[in-house]
Parts: sequence; structure tokens; C-alpha cells
Amino acid sequence: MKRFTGLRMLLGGFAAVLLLLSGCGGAGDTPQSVGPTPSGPVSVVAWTPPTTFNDNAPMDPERDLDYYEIYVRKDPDFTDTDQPAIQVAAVAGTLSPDGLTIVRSLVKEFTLELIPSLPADPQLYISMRAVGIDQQKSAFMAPLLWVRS
Amino acid sequence: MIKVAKHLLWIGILSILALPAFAETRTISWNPVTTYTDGTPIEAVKTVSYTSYWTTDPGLGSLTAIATAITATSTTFDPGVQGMTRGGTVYFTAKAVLNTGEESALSPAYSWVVPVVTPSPGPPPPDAPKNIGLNGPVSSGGTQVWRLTWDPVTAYANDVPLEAGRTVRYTVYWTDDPSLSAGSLRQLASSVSTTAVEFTPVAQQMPVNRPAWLTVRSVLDTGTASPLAAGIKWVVANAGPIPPVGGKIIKKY
Repeated sequence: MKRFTGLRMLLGGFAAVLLLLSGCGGAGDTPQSVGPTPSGPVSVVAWTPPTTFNDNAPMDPERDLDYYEIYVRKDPDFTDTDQPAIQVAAVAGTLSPDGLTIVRSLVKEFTLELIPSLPADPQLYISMRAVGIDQQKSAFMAPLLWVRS
Repeated sequence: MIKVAKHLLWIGILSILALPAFAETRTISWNPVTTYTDGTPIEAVKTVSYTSYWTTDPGLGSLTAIATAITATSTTFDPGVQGMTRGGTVYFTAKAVLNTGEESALSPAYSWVVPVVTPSPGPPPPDAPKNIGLNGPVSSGGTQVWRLTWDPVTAYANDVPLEAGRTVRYTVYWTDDPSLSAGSLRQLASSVSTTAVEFTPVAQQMPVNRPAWLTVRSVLDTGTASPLAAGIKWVVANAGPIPPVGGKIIKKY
């Protein structure tokens, strides 16, 4: 059963935006997450936000998505009982070039080194789920092999 | 010789009571009669009772009794119940009667302007419901049922706690207008005494895959309603998003 409240959504939204604004880690165009700033090259998972629901009805990800869940496993067998390693807001606010306005933009990538308590394994598998504003979750994205070096 | 009790010396409005908000009780009182008209004290073995009247006739014709044969020196009345015209002038009078049957003359008229009723201000509106949450689907069948919940309203909008015994009911709405405009509100449930309501999106004709906003209003037993609670956004009856696509891991320097 899923539950959400207006307050939680509001706070969650702000928290997510702050989360993403607080550390960029040199990871690219999209605001990034908290945690120590990785030194040297970083691994970034990138994706294309969904634009349809499961029944093929069109979806506006900026309007209808709340956040993504990023999952980490040592094997590619992600299951519904897995716990997400981190949540990433689906939409982030960034300051406009003139610094006067907040521009909302879809989040499309995330620096993996920012995930807390990562296993030390040389290679891991990464997957994601999209979560709608009604908290309905997508299936898992096709697993990605992350070779750490 | 017939002794006639002395005229009542004074009669007048002493106090105004307003009980409850939409009724008003007034009190007229007078001095006790203790002597005959010649100044002789009334014997201790005799009792005095009074009858009070009102009339619109300054000449004290067409009297209407307010209280009859009472021993107290005051009585209460409701101008509305007595049929007194608001804003009009009425005249009070009274007479004393001894238990031996001797009666006084009517006291001099005491005039009084019946006040126009000033509507008392209504109670403040109740607080709007807070902490609205949506649970669901709470059914496992083919028809989805969702449960909307909220915290009970226990105070007025000015944070003053509701009085004991005051009851609150709730009206639940949904709308496709994020501004929750009055004209767009569609009722999910009304006069709900609990703090939860279950609904079926299909039965409510909520369009699939479209955002809807759910909100609640509290209504006191006086009929006073709160503002709408902050609406929560929800995408109705969608099948959930597809997962992100095109995933890849890249190195950035």
C-alpha cells in the first residue's frame, strides 16, 4: 500500500531539490547529490525519463513524476524486495544564468559515487525505478553493469 | 373603610440579559409596596403580590400581563415572545394586590423603546483540515478504492479550541483545477463525521492519467465552514510510469 501526504510531498520536493543542489561533484549538466565530493573521474548513470504510463497513455515527467529510486546489487537480479540505495528528485530547480529565477528541469543523471555505503566490489549492477507523484512505481530499468576502477 | 394599597413607587428596566444568542431576556423590576396610600404600613400578616403589564398605549389601555400575582419584585420577559414591535415604544405598569383582595391602582407608565435586534456575530470558521493523506488502493479487486484521510479539526481558524460538544463534519472534493476554484470542485462526500473517506476514481468519473487535486473542508454544527484545505495532487487511476530508458554509465572528469 502506498501513502503520501501533501506535506510530505512538499517537504520531499524541497529536500530533493536541496539535496541535488548541495553538491555538484563535477558530474555534468544536472544538479547532483549530497555527500563528499568525489575526487578524480566519477561514474555517472544517465537515463531518459519516461514519457508514458504502462498503459501507453502519455505522461509529462515534469508534472507526473516525483522521484527516481536507484538500486545497487552485486548481481543483476533486482527484485521488489530490494531497498533503494538513494532517491533522486525527478525535477530539480536551478538558478537561471542571471540568478534571478529558478528554472525547473528534468533530472537525467546522477553521480554514482555519491551513493552512501556502496559495497567495495569492483563491479556492481545499477538499476532504477521511476516513482509517480501518486507513488506508483515503475518496473526496474534494465540493469547496468558498473565497473569501478 | 376600604384601604387601597399605595401606588407602586418605581418601575423600570434594570438589566438586559441575552440568552442565548438569538433570544433575549429582559428584566423589569419595581420597589416593594409596604404601605397604604395614606402611609400606613401594611400589616405584617398580609402578603403583597404583583401583576405587571405592558401596552403600546401610553394611556395604559389594552394591557397585556407579563407576570401575574407574583410576590417577587421583578420579572423577566422576552420582547419577541411578548410580541413587542422592534423599535417601537411600549409602556410598563404594575399593580399590587393584598392577599385580602385589596388592589392598588396601576403604577405610572414606564416607557421603553424595544431595541432593534443586532445580529450577534457568528462564530469564527473552523480550522481547515490538515495533513491530508491518500492511501491505496485499499481494495484488491478489479475496482480500485482509495482512502483519503485527514487530521480531525479541533479548533477554530483563529486557533481557539472548539468548545466541548461542538461537532465538526467534513465535505470532501476533487477537482482538476490546481487553484481549487469553487466552480471546479466536485463533491466526493459530504457531511462526513469521520476523518476518512473511501472513493472509487472510476465511479467519480475522474479522468485516467490526469492530475486531480483532493481537498477537504470542515463544517461546524453551526453551519460555518472552513476554507479549503491545501489540496494534494494525484494522478488518477494511472497504470504507473514505465521505467526510465536508455540507461548508461559514463565516466566524467
